[in-house]
Amino acid sequence: MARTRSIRNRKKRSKKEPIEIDITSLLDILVILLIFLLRSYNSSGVTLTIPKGIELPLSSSATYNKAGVMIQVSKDKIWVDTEVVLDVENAPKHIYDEGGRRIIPLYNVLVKKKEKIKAIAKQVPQAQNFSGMTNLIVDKSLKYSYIKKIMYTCAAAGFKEYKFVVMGEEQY
Amino acid sequence: MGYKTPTRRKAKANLKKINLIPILDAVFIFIFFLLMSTQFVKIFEIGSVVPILSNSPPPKVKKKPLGLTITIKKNALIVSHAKPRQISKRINKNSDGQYNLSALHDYLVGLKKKYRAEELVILEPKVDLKYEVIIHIMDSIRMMNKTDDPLFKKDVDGVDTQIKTLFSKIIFGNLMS
Repeated sequence: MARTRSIRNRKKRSKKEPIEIDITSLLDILVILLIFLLRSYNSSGVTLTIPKGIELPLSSSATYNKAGVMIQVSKDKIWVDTEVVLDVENAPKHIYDEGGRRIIPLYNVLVKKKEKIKAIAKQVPQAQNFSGMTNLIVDKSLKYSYIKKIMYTCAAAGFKEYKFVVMGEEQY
Repeated sequence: MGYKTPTRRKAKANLKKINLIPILDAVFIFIFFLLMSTQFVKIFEIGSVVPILSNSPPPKVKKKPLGLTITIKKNALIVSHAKPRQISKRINKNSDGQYNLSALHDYLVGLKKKYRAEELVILEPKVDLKYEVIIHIMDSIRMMNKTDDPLFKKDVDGVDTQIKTLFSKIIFGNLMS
């Protein structure tokens, strides 16, 4: 006891060893996190919003999504880029024209979208030109006759390419 | 009077090594829980283009296109092509009432062996199918399966490259009608 308190050992005592933290387990966690992040990484950079009421069909496709105007279609609603354009419950009387092939509210919104994209492309040189691409996020239980109307409306509004958004089968 | 420890020395003596191991163990378990409860949803796409309607004559090409058309009828899938325009195969539904997609796929693989550069197919659903069924039909038309015989074609440099897609450019033929 006296030895530790002596003036001779004061210097030695003051030089305490730095705290050592065992980082092995921390590194284990980081490795797992890295795998987790790599596994869920999507290089396309496209953010898709799938509203409630839409169940995507399974597909063996492995093509990543590209940016485009998003059209979400459920049994009772249609959204364009998450904005509701048609709600069947509160819909006006006449929503179809051109012999029942074109959905008027969807057509109007799509034309506005197209004009907006074109106007931005004119003003901002870095902005992407109008690609005419639509990402169709459609509920799997919907019938072809309805999807056909949506596709026809897109084409009429000047969108020449459809991308059917599907869920990869690999994960199951 | 007894020895009194200087205040600074007292403070230094109080520094204790924190035992992080139980905390890290807990975080480790938490990450496992996170991994197990996460659904790795992979979202992909299937492309299609709008058919172009025109009165002008088609552009002259050296090789006539195959003009492959698949008509989806109530009880069968009809495969036809435009060289010459004829029904080349009728694939009836299975006994369970489902479309025989494996038979369709096998037939298309046979066609692809003959027309390796062809990618285009016109899809004409004549019945009001569910979207999910259409996607399954499109899948069997678009992609080569791993179990299919490998097919090769020469690329621009004359090197043999494996064909991974069957008829990947799908156009809905009756969209404008």
